[in-house]
Amino acid sequence: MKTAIKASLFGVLLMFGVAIGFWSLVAFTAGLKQAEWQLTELLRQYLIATGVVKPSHTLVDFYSHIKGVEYLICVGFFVAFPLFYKYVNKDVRKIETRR
Amino acid sequence: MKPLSGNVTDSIGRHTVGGASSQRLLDKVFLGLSRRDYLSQFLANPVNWALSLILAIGIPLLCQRYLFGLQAISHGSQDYPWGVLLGFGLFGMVPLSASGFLLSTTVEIFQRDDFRPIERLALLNGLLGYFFAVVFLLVDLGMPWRLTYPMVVSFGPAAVLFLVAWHVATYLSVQIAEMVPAVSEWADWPGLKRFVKKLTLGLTIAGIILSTLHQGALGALFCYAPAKIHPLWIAPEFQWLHFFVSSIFAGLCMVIVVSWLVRKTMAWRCDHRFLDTLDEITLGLAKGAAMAMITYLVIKIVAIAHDQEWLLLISGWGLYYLLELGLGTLVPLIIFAYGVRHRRVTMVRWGALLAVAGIVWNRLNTVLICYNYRLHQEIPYWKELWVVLTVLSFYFIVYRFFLYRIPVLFEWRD
Repeated sequence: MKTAIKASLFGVLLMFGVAIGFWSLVAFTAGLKQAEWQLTELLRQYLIATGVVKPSHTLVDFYSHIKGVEYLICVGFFVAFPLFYKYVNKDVRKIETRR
Repeated sequence: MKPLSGNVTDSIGRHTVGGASSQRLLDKVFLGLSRRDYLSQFLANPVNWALSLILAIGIPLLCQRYLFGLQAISHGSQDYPWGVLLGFGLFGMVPLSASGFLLSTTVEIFQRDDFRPIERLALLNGLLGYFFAVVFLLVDLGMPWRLTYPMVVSFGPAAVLFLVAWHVATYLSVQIAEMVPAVSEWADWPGLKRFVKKLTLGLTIAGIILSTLHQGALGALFCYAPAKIHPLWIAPEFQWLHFFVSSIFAGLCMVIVVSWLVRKTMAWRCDHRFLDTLDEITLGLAKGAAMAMITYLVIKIVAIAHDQEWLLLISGWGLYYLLELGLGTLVPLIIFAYGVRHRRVTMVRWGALLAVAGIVWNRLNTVLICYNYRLHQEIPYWKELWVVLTVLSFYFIVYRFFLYRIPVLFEWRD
């Protein structure tokens, strides 16, 4: 029973993943076409659209912005580092057979 | 390198036995071989022929440099003042020599005895790396008799170079002291060894302080010319941190590479303690290097965010920067993570080699390629490259001399 639930859950997730993947591919290709197939131009537009790059008119604006982005990177690292640590430090357990 | 023949190895085996006061110094220097045996071994090794060829051309070039000045062998100018001599010799060699303080901290402070078999190799690597960085500096600067000026004649406490000079001098002294136990075992000076052993903890702590400051100071040096270096390679607030953190994995990777070469080319000189534990130690070092690498990558990204340089990343220089960061750090990071998790030691070793090349590439980019990037591109004169090769050959010869003789790869049986 449990296996059947797991299999169907996996199937749903897989379909969801394929749908998202297809949507991303279409969006990426369409974006590239709009940017006349220039990857760097697409990246530039993406950075502007997501607000990573924006004009700042005062020093306070500039500092608030860069510190905000730095903060997000650091938060991401606080999540990524323990995961990475756990991945690298895979516990190799030796199984001993009782005699 | 050609392995030594059986009877020669037996003679050398006797040389590693302690209580050797009866052995004359020359016997130890010649590894217990007769002069004829030693010479025949020397001539049978093709590496020695290659080294002889390099030195045959390189030594006259060195003489030319000292007789006629640096311009005789280098294109160095006000636009590109550092060249390959310092770009590779000083800025490239120093991070690769961070191994000494890293492994002595691991073993002496954190008491990780599982890394003890490789501690002396890491210390020797650090000592020789720093020493030859000074040799490269002396070839570039000339006038070696003025080496002591920042110490006793003319202080310059406002200059970062003053800091670098003092750090190198004091840290080199600390590293020499850390290698004294190995040399005193070889020379049969037990009193000296006992005395230095008492200082080990102090020397290790001094090593941590000096090396940390020194690696950072080399980065801080670039804050002298922030407008000349491409913005992606200079981040004044973070430069010392980039240099320091990258030196951590550079030093660890260098030890992985050197120990790999040693095992491949002079297994006869290693004892079982070293050979049996090397794979496990390699994985341990790679694990540490991977942690440093991911931290380094994040600090690099933070520096880009701090200086708001995202748009530069999609320029030509930006793609070159991403290539350097990708091939030199990200790919080795992935290789290390996968290799450590799945216990693929050979894969980890290739990853370490890539990381070592990546660090040297980063330093050459900062010092030479992306320095005054708006002007013409500096193409080094062949004589300068050959002089670098010559000093590297001396480095190799001295490294091999010590590894053959003093107990670095083997325990002194006393």
